[in-house]
Amino acid sequence: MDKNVSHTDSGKNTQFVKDFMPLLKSLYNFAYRLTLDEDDANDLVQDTYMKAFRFYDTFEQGTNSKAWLFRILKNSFINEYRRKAKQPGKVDYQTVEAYYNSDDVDELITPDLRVESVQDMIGDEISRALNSIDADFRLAIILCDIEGFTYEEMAKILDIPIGTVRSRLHRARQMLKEKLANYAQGLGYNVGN
Amino acid sequence: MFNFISKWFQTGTDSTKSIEDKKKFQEAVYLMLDGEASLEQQKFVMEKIKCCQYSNSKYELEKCLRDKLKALYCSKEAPNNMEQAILQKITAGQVNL
Repeated sequence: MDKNVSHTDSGKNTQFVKDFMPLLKSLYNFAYRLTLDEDDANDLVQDTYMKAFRFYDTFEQGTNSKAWLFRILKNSFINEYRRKAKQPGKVDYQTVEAYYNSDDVDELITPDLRVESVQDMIGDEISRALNSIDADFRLAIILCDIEGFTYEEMAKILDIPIGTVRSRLHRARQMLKEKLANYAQGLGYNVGN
Repeated sequence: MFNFISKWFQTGTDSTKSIEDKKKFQEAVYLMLDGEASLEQQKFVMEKIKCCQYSNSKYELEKCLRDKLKALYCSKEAPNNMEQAILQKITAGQVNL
């Protein structure tokens, strides 16, 4: 039996709305965290829904609709929105990952960030820290820590092997902690290595 | 002299082991909080945080960070007219990308 969706037009609309519209808020937040701009997030989400609707026939019922939609959004972001990126001085992703994958880097850069200092931070500080991380790493944190996707789902969304998901997540978290350590220092906490 | 060299190697080994242990613990914490840890890794983390203050504080930090991120991220509502705009495009057959 063909698992792909096959409907009449009105049936397709109804099923599509039922499958995907409840994910709107989650998708919008994801888009906003990637684009860092409300208008761009708005456009990206609408664009994603339109693409999803267009290719709905290829969606396999019973599979993870959220992961499917997130993957479309991620691809749109990379292919289109990044081209007109408003992120001056963007760090080269390969260079960053290679640097963070070196054996002893954890010991060299991991600040002694304490739970009390993070608890004292307000949303803006956490948000700024997350937003200042390169998009590929930010994506990994958002998908795992916030959206709760499994490594396997992340591998599909990001089009990378599971091993790379793990190492990218590890590095992304290190980077976030470095940024937060700067804020913690500003709050008067000692965060020496 | 032999004792000195022997001790130097011993210290070096211990130091490396300690770094590796920290990395192993950190990785296991990530896996555990991500819901991807094996039973063995979960046991390893639980034992560590029970008997080691340093490990306990690292574990609490990771949990705290996630809670902060979740609280922060889920707070943004989609614009009011967005759902309507998407539905209109779908029903109007404007999906010609």
